[in-house]
Amino acid sequence: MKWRTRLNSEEQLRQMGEEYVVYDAVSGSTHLLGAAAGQILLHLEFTPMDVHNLMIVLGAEWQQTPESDVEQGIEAVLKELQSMDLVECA
Amino acid sequence: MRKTGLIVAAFRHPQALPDWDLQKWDVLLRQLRQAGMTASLYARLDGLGLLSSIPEQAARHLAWAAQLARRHKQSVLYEVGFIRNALNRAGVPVVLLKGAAYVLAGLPASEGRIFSDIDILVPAESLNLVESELMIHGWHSTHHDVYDQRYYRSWMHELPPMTHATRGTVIDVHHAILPVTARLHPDSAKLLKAAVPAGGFATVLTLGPADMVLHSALHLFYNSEFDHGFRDLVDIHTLLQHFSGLPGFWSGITARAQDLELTRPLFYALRYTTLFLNTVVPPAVMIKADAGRPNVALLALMDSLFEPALQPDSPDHVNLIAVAARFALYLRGNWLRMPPLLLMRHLFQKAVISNRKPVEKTQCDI
Amino acid sequence: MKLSDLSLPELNRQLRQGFYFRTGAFVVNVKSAIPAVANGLSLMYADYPLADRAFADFHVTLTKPHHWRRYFRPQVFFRFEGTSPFSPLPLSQAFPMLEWGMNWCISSNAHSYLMIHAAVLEKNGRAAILAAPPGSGKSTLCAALMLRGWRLLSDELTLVRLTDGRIEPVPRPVSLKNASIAVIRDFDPLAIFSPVVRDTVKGTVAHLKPSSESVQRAVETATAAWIIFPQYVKESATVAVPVSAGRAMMRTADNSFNYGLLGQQGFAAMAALVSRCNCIDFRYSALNEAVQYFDHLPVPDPA
Repeated sequence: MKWRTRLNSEEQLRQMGEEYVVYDAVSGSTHLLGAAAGQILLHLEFTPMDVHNLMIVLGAEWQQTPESDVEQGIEAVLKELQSMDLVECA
Repeated sequence: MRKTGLIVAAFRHPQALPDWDLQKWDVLLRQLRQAGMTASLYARLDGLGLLSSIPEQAARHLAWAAQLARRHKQSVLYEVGFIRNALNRAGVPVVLLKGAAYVLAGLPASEGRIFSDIDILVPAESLNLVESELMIHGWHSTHHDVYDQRYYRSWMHELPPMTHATRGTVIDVHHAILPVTARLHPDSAKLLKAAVPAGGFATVLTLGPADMVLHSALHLFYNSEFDHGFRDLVDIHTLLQHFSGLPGFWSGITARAQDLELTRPLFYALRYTTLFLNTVVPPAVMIKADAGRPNVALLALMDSLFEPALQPDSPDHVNLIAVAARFALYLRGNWLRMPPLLLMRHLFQKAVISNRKPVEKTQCDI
Repeated sequence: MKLSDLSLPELNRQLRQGFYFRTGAFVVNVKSAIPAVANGLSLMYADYPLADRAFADFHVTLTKPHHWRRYFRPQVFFRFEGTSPFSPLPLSQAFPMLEWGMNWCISSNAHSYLMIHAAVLEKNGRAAILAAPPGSGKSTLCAALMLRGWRLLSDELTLVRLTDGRIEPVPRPVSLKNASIAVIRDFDPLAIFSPVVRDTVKGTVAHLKPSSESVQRAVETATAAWIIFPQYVKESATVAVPVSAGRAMMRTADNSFNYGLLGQQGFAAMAALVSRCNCIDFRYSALNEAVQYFDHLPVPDPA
């Protein structure tokens, strides 16, 4: 199952040091995200991805081996981003 | 030129606006603000490519209002999404009326209008289902006073306004475009049948072009509240100009007015838009629309009431004639909607029983 | 021509018909027959330029009611173009009401700016934005900085231009309340204050005359270099702690009048603003030390 962002443009996501700010054009809300959530959104902006591929891509960036707890962490973040209407299942 | 005429002049001849001096602009901006039409003028000038030609000090006031209107549109789209979700389950399509319809259909008339409620039209038989779906999705009814509930449900043509518990937005659910107790009975089933999808959604619709114009005319000329009469007239004008390019629009509108028994409001709409705003209407249509002309005496009376009433107020002096005309039209508006006996009861009841709170004023807290 | 060029009778005459003057980014037309308004303007706005009577951004009036409240516990009404955004106040509060009213006009309308509820001052071409909720000591700090040579752009309304992110000045008398009034009188015995007004909704209130330099340079915009979140804490040392840009953005957005209204443009403007600034949480109690710290603020690295 692939995930994708609900953002219309890359203008809506900004990196600020370790954190990210994101603007949801539909609801008008602004959110502050931690590094993991921000990077996940950033990758999904390039292309929709499933959890497994996210894990590989992020694992390389974070220098972590792809393992079940990383996968679980990513899934938890995706669920939270979904509840904020920032991502959806493609 | 009379000071109260500046808005009318601005909308009639926008090409002349770059030549207006700052003093004239100063007065115009104040009139626009009071009439709620600043963003409309911005849109008009933007469409004509004239924004950069008007004095900068004035231009920024227009831009400020346009920003508010832009944000408002965004929140309307957002809210319609929630309404759509709520009614999808019930299988009831959402037919938007008035301002929200203009926004979803991307019409020029949507520019600059800020309104607080979203109005929808549903079949009378779906009313209970719609009400319960909305309640499941977080809207609750207002006007709990038994009298007000009866006023809306039995005599008017709508549920009492429903407010959303968390978002605070308001929805007005209509099952007809005129009250049950009124003299005219335009057929809602016909309106719903002719509704067209809008905004790229299958289940969000607006009235068909002719019906939209007729509804707007009905709303202006048969309504009780004329505070924004000129703004509503500009809306009708904008709709007519926009739809005039549609094949079959002009040839169909008078027939449709006949069909829905709305020839009188169409007559007034064409009469006053051409008079105030030089709206371009094919002569053949004006002739056919004469079917809705009232008798000579009534027309003279209506002219004397409508012409001053439709002039926007100047913020500098209260136009007493306009105020009197508006009050007479208020009574007429209500009379057209409710038979006289019910009307007396309603007006009397409203004064005594309903607990209307005055508008909350802000404390100075900045 | 400046306000100080007018005699008091002439000022009163103009006020009855409508008195036009410029406060940085905006021209205001005030109409009032209330003596406190004339006196307040005469004292606080002496350095301000008069404006052409052809055009004003905001037309406001301050009037007494026509009925019995004119004489018994008299009131004053503030009106903006015929509407009353506020409930009436006691007549003694007429001048503060004018100040609050002008702030309201700007913050409710001027949506070509991202408007932050913050003080902003400039030195050596760089502006420091002081963003904090009421009660934090922001106004006291703002007043002190101005009295020590910082140019005041505003004590309440930071106007960030959406086109280029520069700050436009709207310098006006600094609003001080309760204990701050005495603190600033001590800090600078030569500071010029309006009459003190008691029992307002904010407590005891007085206004401090802006420095002549602030008024003279009111057309000069500035680039923001610091966003400071000040907090007066009794007997605290002067402590400055960096705040992450992301957090500063959320906090400043919370302190804004129209961030939400500006939608994506507001988001972009705010992100650009915090990215070019050093953002700092600032605790202090000794005003002199605080001013010293500001005079030596580290310049941000170019973005």
